[in-house]
Amino acid sequence: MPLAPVASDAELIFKVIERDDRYAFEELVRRHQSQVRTVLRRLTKGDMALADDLAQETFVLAWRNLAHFRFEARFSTWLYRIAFNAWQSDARKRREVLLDADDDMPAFEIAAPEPGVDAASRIDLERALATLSDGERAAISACYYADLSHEEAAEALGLPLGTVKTHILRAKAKLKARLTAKREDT
Amino acid sequence: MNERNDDWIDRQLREDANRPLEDAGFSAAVMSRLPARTSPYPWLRASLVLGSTALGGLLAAFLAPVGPLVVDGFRELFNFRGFTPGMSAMIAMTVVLAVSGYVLATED
Repeated sequence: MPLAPVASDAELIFKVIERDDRYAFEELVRRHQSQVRTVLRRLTKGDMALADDLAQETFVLAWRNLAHFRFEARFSTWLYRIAFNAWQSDARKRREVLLDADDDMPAFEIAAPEPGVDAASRIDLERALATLSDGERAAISACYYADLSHEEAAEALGLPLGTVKTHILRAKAKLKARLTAKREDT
Repeated sequence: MNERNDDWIDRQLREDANRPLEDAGFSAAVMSRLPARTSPYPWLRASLVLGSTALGGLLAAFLAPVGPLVVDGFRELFNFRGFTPGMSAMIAMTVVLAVSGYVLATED
């Protein structure tokens, strides 16, 4: 039977750990799937299939390791750390990810936007994000999409705090330049 | 920073981040992939199985009518004078316990 929506993350986690309660875990998945998938879509330059594969892997790893969750951070923060590790691990298999590097990687072909008032500006943003370097995109994904502090982002990404701040500044400057140019074109 | 510089970028990023994604079967796909959860105390089951096996073995050795073979095996194991049937039985039991322990420890 589905659980009442008022249960907190902590209550659901206790139910999973103590009773092996799959309904409780499913509620956690439903609650966090949107943000985890969005973060991974940005990290993978809009590759939705890969992002969803990595998101599934993230939740499966969370299920396996939930007993080790210590409630020292938000559950979402813990999930994002798993997601970043899954992305970095996958990217290393494909090629070396250089989070410190400043290179502009070729962008993944962005899927057509869903119909909506802000669809055009959203697709512009997705395309602009896809042109950032891995490190810049990871920093933006961590701080804006995963809503981590700079310190939490540095820890999750395994980067020095100063590097994260630099990536954020550079990324925003690049986004501003690209989106401003796009606005002027239209 | 002001609205004309970075704030509109911040706002656009946050709006994009907060845009909800439809579940569209994602949660069901995750649930279908979940393995049976491993115990947070895997050593407990291994200890119980190995401990009860060892205890049972010792009780059998001393209580069952098997003669002095196994008891001798203990003694001969500590005073090695070549392989004897008793010592072979002890070594076999040790190997069985070690293999059981390895299987239990590495079982997912």
